[in-house]
Amino acid sequence: MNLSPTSAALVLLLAVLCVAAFGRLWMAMAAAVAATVSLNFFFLPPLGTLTVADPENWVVLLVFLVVAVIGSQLSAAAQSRAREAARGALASTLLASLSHDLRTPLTAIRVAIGNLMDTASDAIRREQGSVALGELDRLTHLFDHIFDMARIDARAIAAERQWVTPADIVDAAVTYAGRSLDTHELTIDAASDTSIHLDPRLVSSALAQLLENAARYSSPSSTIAVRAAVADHEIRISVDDGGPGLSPADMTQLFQPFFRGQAARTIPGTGMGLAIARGLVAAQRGRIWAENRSAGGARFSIAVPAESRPVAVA
Amino acid sequence: MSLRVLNVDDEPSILAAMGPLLRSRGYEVLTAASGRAALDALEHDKPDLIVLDLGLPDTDGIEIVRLIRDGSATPIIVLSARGKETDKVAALDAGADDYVTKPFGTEELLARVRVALRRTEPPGAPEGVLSCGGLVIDRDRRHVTRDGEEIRLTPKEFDLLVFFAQRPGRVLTHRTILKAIWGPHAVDQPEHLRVLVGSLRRKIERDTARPRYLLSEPWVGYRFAERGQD
Repeated sequence: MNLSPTSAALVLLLAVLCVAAFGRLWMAMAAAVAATVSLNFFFLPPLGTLTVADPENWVVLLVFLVVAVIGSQLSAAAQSRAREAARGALASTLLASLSHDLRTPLTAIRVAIGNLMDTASDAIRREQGSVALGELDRLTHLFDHIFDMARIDARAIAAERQWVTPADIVDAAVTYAGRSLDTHELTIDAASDTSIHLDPRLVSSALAQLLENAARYSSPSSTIAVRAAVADHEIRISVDDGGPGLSPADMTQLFQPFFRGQAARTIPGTGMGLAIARGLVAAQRGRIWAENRSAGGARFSIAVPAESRPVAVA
Repeated sequence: MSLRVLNVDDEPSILAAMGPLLRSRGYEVLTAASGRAALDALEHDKPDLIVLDLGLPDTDGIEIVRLIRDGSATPIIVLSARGKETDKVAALDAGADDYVTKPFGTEELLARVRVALRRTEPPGAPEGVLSCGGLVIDRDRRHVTRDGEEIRLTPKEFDLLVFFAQRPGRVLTHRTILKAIWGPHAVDQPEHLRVLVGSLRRKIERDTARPRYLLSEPWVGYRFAERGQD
């Protein structure tokens, strides 16, 4: 080794700080101790041992250890401040989004109920009643989304596995999506003689988000095509829509909470649907992605790993 | 005499809203704010139907269903939250007749109330013709038509269709159906049922992607539409 003990100490310190900058605090502390031992073993005479000849080098070692530990703690603190800032940014988008999405229906409902109490006209009562009910549906939808997001954030999603077929999952998702699909043609290709073992509620809920999304962002009476099949120990489900497709600029952020694509801004939505779908799929170690089809329109896909077996038929 | 509905809920605002709704449809309304009070009211007032919130503070909801069922055949509709399918199945298996998910609309609740009250009427004769929105099931001749066109069903498909059509509007758990069609040994084999429902739907539904007769209650069971509409 031609490196002087001083240069070696600086190089080791650099290594410790790198670990501290990118790793956890305990990794940085371990690196600090390892670096101190290496400095002693390789660079302080007698070399190749953990003994120290010159008492002054004990001071060197001690100072080195202290510097490494302080450095790693500073770096860990900086990292956690950065995380806090990111969380704060998410919380403030959440607040801004909630404040708007909640205030609008609440205001409309208050006014409509005030009108209901004041008017004697049956026509106005019916009209104001349906305004209030429509806004309540919107609030319910928003509440469901917030609740799902909170469960995903808190990792409060426990998978309860059972044996189901791809058709069961699609069937449930269509039921969940309910009336929102009435405006569109729907084709389903989910025939399969294979059962899979997973929590079907999570996959169906994720698929329902994709279906609602497809219905919302493609023109009425266009076709939504759902395909589901089991292959290579996973279930794969895709949803094709007849909409305008995805802009490349939006593609990377589609699944971020509260992200609304350029084209989506004029259409009412919470910006939580796709983030929820991603969270539900991730809870089962699955993947979700989006692409444009060469024939036009967007395709959203889900793949979730699962044990499979042939359907037992009576 | 008007039918009596016992509404069990610990939230005064729910009781305050449900009372006028049920009374406006001609029902007499009794209320109870706890499981204990519900059992007392059941004994003294003999209601014709119980609408029970599963989330009561004093007793577990499923346990109340069981306690009511121990001494009474009064129909029970349970109210539960979204996503609690396990609770719904447990309540139904414990003897509840139906469930409604909160928040529900008035029409949905009233429809379930009518269906549950109908259950106490004596069941229809085992033979004869059942019909539902264009679907006509002739049980004597084991013959089914939709809008006048004949539909050919296998014996099992026919049995399943008749089982559903005799119970319009009622939720039927996988377990209940498996037991009725295949027998008690089959209750843990839901795949049999799923395959049979799939083939029956392909024959009776116009659009299998959006069934009108045989509706799914995801992860709970199925419900045969009351009038062949969704």
